[in-house]
Amino acid sequence: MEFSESSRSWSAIPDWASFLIRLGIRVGQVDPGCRRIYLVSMPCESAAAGVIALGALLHRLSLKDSNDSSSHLARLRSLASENEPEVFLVHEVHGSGFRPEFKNGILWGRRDPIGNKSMTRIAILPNNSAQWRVNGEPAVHALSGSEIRFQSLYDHLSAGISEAFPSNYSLSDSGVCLAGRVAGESISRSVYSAIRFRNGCGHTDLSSLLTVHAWSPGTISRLTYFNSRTGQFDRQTGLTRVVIADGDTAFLRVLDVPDFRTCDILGVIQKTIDRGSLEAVGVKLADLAQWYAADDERTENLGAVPRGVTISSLRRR
Amino acid sequence: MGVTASEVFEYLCQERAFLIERHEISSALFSELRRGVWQILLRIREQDDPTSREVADQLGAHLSEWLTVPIPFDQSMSESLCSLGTPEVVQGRWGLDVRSLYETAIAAAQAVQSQGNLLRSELREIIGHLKSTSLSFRIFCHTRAQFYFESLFEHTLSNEFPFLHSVKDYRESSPFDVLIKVGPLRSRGWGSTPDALITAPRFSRLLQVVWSGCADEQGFGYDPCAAQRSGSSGAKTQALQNQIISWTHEIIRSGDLGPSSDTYPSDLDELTQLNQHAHASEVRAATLIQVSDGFGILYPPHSQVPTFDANVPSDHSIGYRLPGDTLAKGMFVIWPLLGDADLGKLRAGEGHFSTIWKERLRNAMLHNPEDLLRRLSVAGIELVNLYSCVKHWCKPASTVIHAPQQRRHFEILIQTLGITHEVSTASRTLRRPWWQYAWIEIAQTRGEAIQTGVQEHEIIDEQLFLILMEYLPDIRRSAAAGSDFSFTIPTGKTLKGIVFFYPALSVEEGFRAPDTSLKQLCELDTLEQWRA
Repeated sequence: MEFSESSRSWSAIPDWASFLIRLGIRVGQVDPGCRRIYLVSMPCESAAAGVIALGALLHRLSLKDSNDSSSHLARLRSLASENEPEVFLVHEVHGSGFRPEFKNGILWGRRDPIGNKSMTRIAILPNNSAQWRVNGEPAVHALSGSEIRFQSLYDHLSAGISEAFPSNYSLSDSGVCLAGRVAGESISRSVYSAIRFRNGCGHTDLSSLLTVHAWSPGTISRLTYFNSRTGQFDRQTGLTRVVIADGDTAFLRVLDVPDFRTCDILGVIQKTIDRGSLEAVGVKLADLAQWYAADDERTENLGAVPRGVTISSLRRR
Repeated sequence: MGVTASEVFEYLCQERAFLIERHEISSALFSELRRGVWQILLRIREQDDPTSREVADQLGAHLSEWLTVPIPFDQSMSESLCSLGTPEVVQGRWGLDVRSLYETAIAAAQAVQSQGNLLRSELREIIGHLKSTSLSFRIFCHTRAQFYFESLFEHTLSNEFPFLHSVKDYRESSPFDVLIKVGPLRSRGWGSTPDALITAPRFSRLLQVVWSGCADEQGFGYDPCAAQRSGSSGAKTQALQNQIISWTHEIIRSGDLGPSSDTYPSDLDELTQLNQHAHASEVRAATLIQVSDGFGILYPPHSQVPTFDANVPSDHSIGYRLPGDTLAKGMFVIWPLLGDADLGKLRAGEGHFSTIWKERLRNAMLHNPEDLLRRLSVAGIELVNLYSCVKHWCKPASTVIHAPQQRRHFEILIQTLGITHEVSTASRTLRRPWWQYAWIEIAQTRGEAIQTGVQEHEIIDEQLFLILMEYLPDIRRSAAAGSDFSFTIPTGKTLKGIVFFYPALSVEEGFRAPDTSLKQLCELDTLEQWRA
C-alpha cells in the first residue's frame, strides 16, 4: 500500500497518516451511553480531518448493521408526514418526480399526471423501500455497478485493525459525517484530493474514498457531508453517530448544530492560526468542561502520537 | 499547499532539540530614554482630556516601535518626541514635573544617537555570521519593519531569503534552520508572532534579539488542546508531555553598563504594561484590512464584509466574507457610497460640501494662518499639532475626506470659517446646520452607517449585490488590473451612488479598537494606535 501527497512521489503510508487512520477507527467506535468530544491539533495545514473520517468510515464498514436500510422506510414515512414541498422521491425503475404521501394508512409514492401520462401511485412497503431514494441523495443500496469502488484499498487500509463486512460495500450509511472547511466544499475537496493511495489493484484519492455523494455521485455513499459554510447537509437522515469537523470554525459551528447534539464530535485544528482563533476554541473547551471530563482512555494504545500533534478527549460526565 | 504535511512531520521527527537563544541587549542611555518617555506617558495618560490620551497613545506607539523594530537611533527619535511642543508648552499643558521629564527624555534621545542602536549592531553581527554559514534562516517581522532589517546591509536581504510577516507566511513556509526575531514573543501587538513558532516549529533554533526588560508574554505558545488537558488534570500527564515540543533556553546578555554601574540596568517591561492598559480600555478585537498604500479598515470579529473575488465563478464572486477566514489577500472590499434620502437634492455630487469648506480653509491658511490657528484654539480645538492637523485637513479628498476626527472639532472649524447655508437655498428643506450636512458627507466616506439598523443594511447590500451581479463582466474587466476602481450605479436602479472596489493588500489580526474606529476607512498611521 502506498501514499502520495500533493503529487509527490509514492512512498509507504507515513506514520502521521497511519496514526490518524487508527484514530479515526477508534473514534468511530461510538459508545451510545456516553458522548465524547475530541480535539486534534495539527502542526501544519493538512487533510487530517479527511484521513480521520476515512478511519471512522473503515470502522463503520466492519459493522454488520451499519447502513441506512433499516431506518430508510421510517425516514420516508417521516418525510411524508412533514409534507415538504421540495422533497421528491426517485424510484430505481420508474424514475423521478414522486412525492411521498399517506393514504389509507399506507405510504405511497405519487407522481402527478404529466402530458398524456396518467397519475402514478406506488405503495412503499418494507420489502421495496430500498428501491426508493430521496432526490439528490444516494441510493440506500447499490444497483448493479454502483457498489463502492476501490474495495481492495479499503481492505488494505484497515488490514489488521478491522475487517469490512462485504455487504456494506453496496449499502449507503450515514453514521459518519464530515463537516468540511468553512472556506467551502470545493476547497475541502481539493485538499482531500491531494492525498492519494494505491496498491496493486489501482489508485485513487482521499476525496473518492470518502464517498461523499456529490463527489462520487454514481455510487452508494458511506459518509454524509455537512457544509460548514452554508450550514447545509447533503442528506439529513438523523442517523449520524460521529462528526469529524475540519478546522476551528467548522468545529465551533458543529458544536452548535442541533442535529449533532447527541453525536460524538472530533475537531481538527491546526496550530498555525492566529491567537484569536485558538482562544475561541480554548474558550469553548473550557465551557464544555462543566459537563465533560478529560478522557485519555480512548486515545491510548494507538501508538506514539506523531511529534507536533496534540490530542484532547472529553467524556460526558 | 506550499509545504506538505509529510514534509513537516518528517522534519519534526528528525529534529531532537529545539533551542531559543535570547540575545538580551542593554544600554544605559536607551534605558534612560525609555524611563523618561514612560514616566511622561504615565502622567499625561491620567489627564481627563482626549488630547492627552491621544498624545499618550502616540508615545506608547513610539516606545513599542523602538522596542520591537531595529530602527536606527537618529534624529527622528528626537523629532517624534519634540512633536509635543516646546518645554514651555509642555509645562503649560501638563505641569512642571512633566516638563522636567520631557527635557531629560529629549536629552537622552539626542545622546543615544551618538551611541547608535546596539540592537542593530548585534543583529548585523548575527545575520552576517549566519550568511557565512550554510544554514538557512528567516526573519519574522511586521511588513513595515522589513525596511529596517534591509537597511542593516547595503543590499536587499529579501533577495537572499524571504521574510515572514504573518501566520499565513509561516504556515506556508518549508522547514529551515534558524528564525530571527526582534523583540519579545507576544501573541498580539507590536512585534507579535504566531504561537505556532513554539508549538509547531519549522526550525530548530530561534535567535531572539531583545532589549533588556522585555519579557516574553506569559502563556505564549498557546495550544487549546494542551491548555484543556493540563487544566483539567491539574498537571500535565505523561502522555501530554510526550506530545508537547520542549524547548531549551539560553540567554546571552550584552551591551553597555553605564558610567556608574557594574550591572546591567534593570528595565521596565513597557510592552506588557501597555498591553494591560489596552485591555482595560473599552476596546474590542479587530482585524485590519489594508486596502491601499496608506489606508485600511478595521473590522470587528466575525464581520460579514461585502467583497468581490475575481477568481471564483460568477455566482459566488460577490458576497459576504469573513476577514482572515474567507476574505483573503487579493480579493476586493466593496465600499459603497450610496445616495441618502435624507440628503436629497443637497448632495449635488461627491464631495460637494468638502469642496466648499476646504476652499475656505485653504484661503484662510494662505492669508493669515496664525490668526486662524489662534481662533481655532480659543474656540476649543486643543490639538497638540494644530498647525499640522489643519494643513492635513486642507489636502484634497482622496479615498477619504481629510477632516477632524472629532465631530466637535469639525463643528468648531466650520463655525470659525463662518460657513452657513446661503439664504437662497436655506429653504424649509434644510432642517440642520450646514456643518452637519458636511459632517455626514465625511462620515459617509469613512464608512459610517448611512442607514440605521443592521437589517436595513442587509437589505441595501442585497439590492447592491443584485445590481453588481448584473454588471459583473464590467466589474471583472476593471478588476483585472488588480488596483482599486469604482463603479457608478446606472440611473434607474433601486440604489444610486458609487461603489468603490479596494483590493485587500493584507489582512492582519491583532488590533483592539473602540467601536467608533471600526468599519471606517482610515489612514494606516491612525490605525496603528489600535495595535493591541
